[in-house]
Amino acid sequence: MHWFANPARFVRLADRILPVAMLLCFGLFATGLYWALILSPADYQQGSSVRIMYVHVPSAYMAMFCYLVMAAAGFSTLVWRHPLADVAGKAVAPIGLAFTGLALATGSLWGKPMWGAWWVWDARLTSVLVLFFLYLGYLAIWGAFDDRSKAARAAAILALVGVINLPIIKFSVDWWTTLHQPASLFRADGPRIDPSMRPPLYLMLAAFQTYFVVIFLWRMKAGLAALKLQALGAMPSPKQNHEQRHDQHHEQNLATRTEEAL
Amino acid sequence: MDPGSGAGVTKFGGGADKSLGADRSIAYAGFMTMPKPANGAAPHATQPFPHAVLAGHDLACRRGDQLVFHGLNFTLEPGEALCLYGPNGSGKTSLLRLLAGLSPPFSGEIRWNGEALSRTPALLREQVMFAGFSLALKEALSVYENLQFWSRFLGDGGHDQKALMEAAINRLGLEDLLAIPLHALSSGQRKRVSLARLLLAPRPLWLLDEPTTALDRDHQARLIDLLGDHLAQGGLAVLATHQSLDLPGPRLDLDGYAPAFDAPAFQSPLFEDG
Amino acid sequence: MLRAFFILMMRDIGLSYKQGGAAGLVIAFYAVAISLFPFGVGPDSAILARIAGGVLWIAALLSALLSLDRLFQADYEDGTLDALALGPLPLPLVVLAKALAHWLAMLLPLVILSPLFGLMLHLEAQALPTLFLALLIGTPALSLLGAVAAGLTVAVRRGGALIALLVLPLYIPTLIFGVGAVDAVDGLASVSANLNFLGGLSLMFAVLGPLATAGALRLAME
Repeated sequence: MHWFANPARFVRLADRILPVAMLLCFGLFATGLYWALILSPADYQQGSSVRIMYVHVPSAYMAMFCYLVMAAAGFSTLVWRHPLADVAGKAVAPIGLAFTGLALATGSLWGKPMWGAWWVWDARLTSVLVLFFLYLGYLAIWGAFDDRSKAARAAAILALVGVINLPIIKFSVDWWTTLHQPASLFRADGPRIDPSMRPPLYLMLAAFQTYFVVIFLWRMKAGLAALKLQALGAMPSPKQNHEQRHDQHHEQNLATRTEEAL
Repeated sequence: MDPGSGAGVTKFGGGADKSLGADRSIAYAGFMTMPKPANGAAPHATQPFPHAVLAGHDLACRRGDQLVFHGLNFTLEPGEALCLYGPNGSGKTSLLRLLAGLSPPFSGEIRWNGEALSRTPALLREQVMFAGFSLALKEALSVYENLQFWSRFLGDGGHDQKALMEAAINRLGLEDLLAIPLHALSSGQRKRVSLARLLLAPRPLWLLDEPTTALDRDHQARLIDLLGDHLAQGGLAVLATHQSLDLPGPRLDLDGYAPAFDAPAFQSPLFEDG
Repeated sequence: MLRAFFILMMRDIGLSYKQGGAAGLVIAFYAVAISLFPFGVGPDSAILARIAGGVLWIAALLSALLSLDRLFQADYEDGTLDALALGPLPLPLVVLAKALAHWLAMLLPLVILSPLFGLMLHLEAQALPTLFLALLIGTPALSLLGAVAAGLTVAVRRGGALIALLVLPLYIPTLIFGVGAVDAVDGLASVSANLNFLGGLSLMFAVLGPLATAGALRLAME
């Protein structure tokens, strides 16, 4: 854990992973999308609209996955007080929010032909909606504090409270839908997936996962670089005075120093 | 001046008049409940506080991303007051908050009798009286209600809270203000009420942020007198102040500990290479 | 320690009813918010009876929210929080005392008044005791969970709107089981199951809430 927690080492590791991950991501998306959109059979009831599933299911899965990563980052922020964990939490949240948004949008698009309505208060869709709100709250906390390390810890506390609540929310929403819609089209255990649709779905899941790795590592690197610039005094933090700005000499040094650090 | 109060301590502001001497005997009635003094013995002869030393080792403090001070060392023995000087923003209040355990130092260690504060965050919790810039008083309550709440909240059952409260009221001359709601008081009067809180529970370490601001000359003298008595009992005090106070103990000018202009803003693990 | 806990709780309750305290306003807000619903959905008694449980719970949720932003902020601003943190009570217990005071001063009056509003919304008479019981068991969770959000936003300017965003999603399970208990009275589901879950939530947040809030307050005080 502590070996990994060294930022310089982390950046070097990220630089080694990134090209591989990017290549893998590209390949997986190419084959996955081709298989999902062209090769795989259409549903006998839903027709081609079933293909939304190949985007919707991976996004919904990634929405959950990102929240878990966020909570793990929050846990390390609170326990080890390491800036790397702070950066990780801030890096992963917008990705999670985007996946959650994508899951909601595709769910709504898929719902129109399936249920005949853009939105149905189905248990899983509702849970994802609540997850969306949790992400918004997390990002709002990050935006509300001037002090970065305080923001990181406040957000970490919220992420942990959220992750403990997630199963409760999920359970209560399931409870609520069975109470109110006993005869829902969308059964609690979900529709059965034909075996022929599984390989492209798994490919897409893997593609989304590698896409996450690429974006996450990029955002981590950007976050670490921003942190370093701020520490060196180049990027004025909100409270910094004008007279404390760097001089010319400092600025010249900065470019080389940052390069070395990275 | 009361001869007993001066034991081992040089001098506490010369301005104390006779009426203060009279007040003091009442005040001690409260303080003395801890080690029961022998009948008739001068109350000041005993030391109610156990021997305790406060020390700071290589302390550094960060506010936002700015290093406020670094390399700060001090040792404070019982009976001593540490006076902090320095211009605005030099970290006087921040240091007081570090010492109270309200915020952790960026680096360095605070020790109370050799025990590290970072190991046991609650170490100083019940040893400290912190009178910050904010007064910790409620506008809607009267002076008496405010003091009564703190007296009862801080009381541990081992002390005569009533006597402590009476002493606090006497020492800060609050007798005539008791029934008045706080929002009707002047800022100097409020400051006196908040300082009275110091006496509501006997705690060895007083951390005072600008204790003399808003006080008139007479009450400044009373405060010095109060501090002198606290120190004479083996208490410790750290004061952030702009005035030169005549108290025994070291003084620190925080301006001398400000980071050099070109120093790196902070040594974070981010700079470690490996 | 128990004494200090009780004294702090009583002070907070007292302050809620003093000049500048919000308890009266919260009760008034609850009444006004509930009476808006008939204007919104029409005075039809069947519809009102159908939604009464939900209306009362949502009004209670919003009333709790209304009073949360001052839960720690007043103490934070006037330095009381620093002094409380250095007192004989560990910070999580300070939080618990203040959250309980919030519940006793702000929410318990609403719980007591709720059967009255239930009647006004044509809730069946046999559902009234369940409504009362569900609110009684479930609303402590609102104070305890709300304390977390109030603690996180205590040092934030204009934290009120932020509190709503942070805490309302977390209130959903309480809302579901609370309304579920009232709806279950007509026999389709189990009242006691819903009440058990409500009690479980309140108990869980009685442990989790103060710990998380104490962490939030500590970082605000730094």
